[in-house]
Amino acid sequence: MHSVMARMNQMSSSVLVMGALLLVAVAMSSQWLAREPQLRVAFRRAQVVERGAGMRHRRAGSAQPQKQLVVEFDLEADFTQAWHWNVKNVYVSVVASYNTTQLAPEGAQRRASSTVVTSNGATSDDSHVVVEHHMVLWDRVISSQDEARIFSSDLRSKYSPRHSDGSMVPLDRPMTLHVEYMIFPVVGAFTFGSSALHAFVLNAEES
Amino acid sequence: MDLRGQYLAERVFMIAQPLALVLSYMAGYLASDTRLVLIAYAAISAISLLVCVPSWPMYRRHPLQFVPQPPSSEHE
Amino acid sequence: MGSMVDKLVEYGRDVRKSVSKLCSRYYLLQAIQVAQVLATALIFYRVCMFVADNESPVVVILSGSMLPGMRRGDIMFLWNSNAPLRTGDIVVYEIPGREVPIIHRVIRVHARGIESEQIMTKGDNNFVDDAPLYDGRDLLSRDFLVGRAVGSIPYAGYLTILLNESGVVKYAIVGALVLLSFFLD
Repeated sequence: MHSVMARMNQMSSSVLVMGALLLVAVAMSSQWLAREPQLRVAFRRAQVVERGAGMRHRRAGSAQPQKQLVVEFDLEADFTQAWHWNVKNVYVSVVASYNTTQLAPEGAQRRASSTVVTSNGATSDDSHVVVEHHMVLWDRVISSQDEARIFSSDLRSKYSPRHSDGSMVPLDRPMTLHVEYMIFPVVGAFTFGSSALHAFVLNAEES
Repeated sequence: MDLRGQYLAERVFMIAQPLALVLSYMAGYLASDTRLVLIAYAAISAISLLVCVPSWPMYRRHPLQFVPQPPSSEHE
Repeated sequence: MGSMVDKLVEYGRDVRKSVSKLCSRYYLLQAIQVAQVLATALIFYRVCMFVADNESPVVVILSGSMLPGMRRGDIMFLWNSNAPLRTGDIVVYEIPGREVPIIHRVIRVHARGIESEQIMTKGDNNFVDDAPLYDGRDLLSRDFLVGRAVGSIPYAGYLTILLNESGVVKYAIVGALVLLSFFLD
């Protein structure tokens, strides 16, 4: 501390290190300030419509109108209690999940027999493989506490669920809908959460 | 800066730092604004650096008393 | 003539003195200390890479495709684990042939166990999903992922962006550091 330079060096590096600690303290405040939001989603109906323009898959050809699946649902999402100083925004999404089975490829059958358990508990045996599909039907980014409450019925899906090769989602499946959210903090780690699953059977009406 | 001044400057800084942390955190927490935390911390730190780093006259009140040099011929 | 030779000899002695001063222990010690700091930083970074299990555990956001959440200059921490990929995760992926990795959100997952997950991504601020960016692939598999974002610090990466994109700032900072190093002793 004998010269201006030495003091400047030590004191400013100390300020920077303590500043980093301050950021950590802000990030940790999310632990005790976080509250569960109220979430509920319910399926209403589904329709297959033809859309000429809009989000089409590139590969499926651009000249022809696409058949798209539009899902309507009710959504209640209340984040007003979950909002605190360290929340920058919240990403809310409505996710549809269902399973399909595929025949396992030849090589797989020769492996030692094992059952694969997928993350929602469905098992597959050697000859068939269960493929899980999760698709975001609708999403929104909530940027302030004023708009933190979504209470709508008859919300329509923004993104039409389809497989990558352009084929439609199988139309007679049991599916589940649930609400997922991700809290994006000002500083710190992301937190996720989801609501209970709402099971339904997709019986899409052709339009 | 003399020795007493250095000691004083270091003490002032050592007290100002945790105070800056606590005050800025509480100010932001109560106002529910994370940016206030950083702005307040930057402001308080800037002030404390301004007070402690340069050699102000208050740090030079007890200069070292050197023994007067005996008159002798130059060696170089 | 003699005085010119004397002057030259004295000039030679001065040059030798300043060169030997550069090689003196003091300056060598300074250089070793700087190298030590750099080596420590490198070790710390490598350990982070090992623990987080990916190539770049800290990334800076460069584009605005994930607004309003992620602005230019924010830094993201990436983590790789064997947990299943979920919709809503923010992931960083690299397409071979494109030099810049992309950070977007997962909106579709087709999973046959964990070994063969395939995903579709989309930027929050984009209207369409990332299919045009995939260079002919339908979906992404795990091999293309660099990591999954687990946390962020806002504005902390702005210095890196300035350094990379504006030559003036780069030279100014390096010049200032060199000048400071002269003044510090």
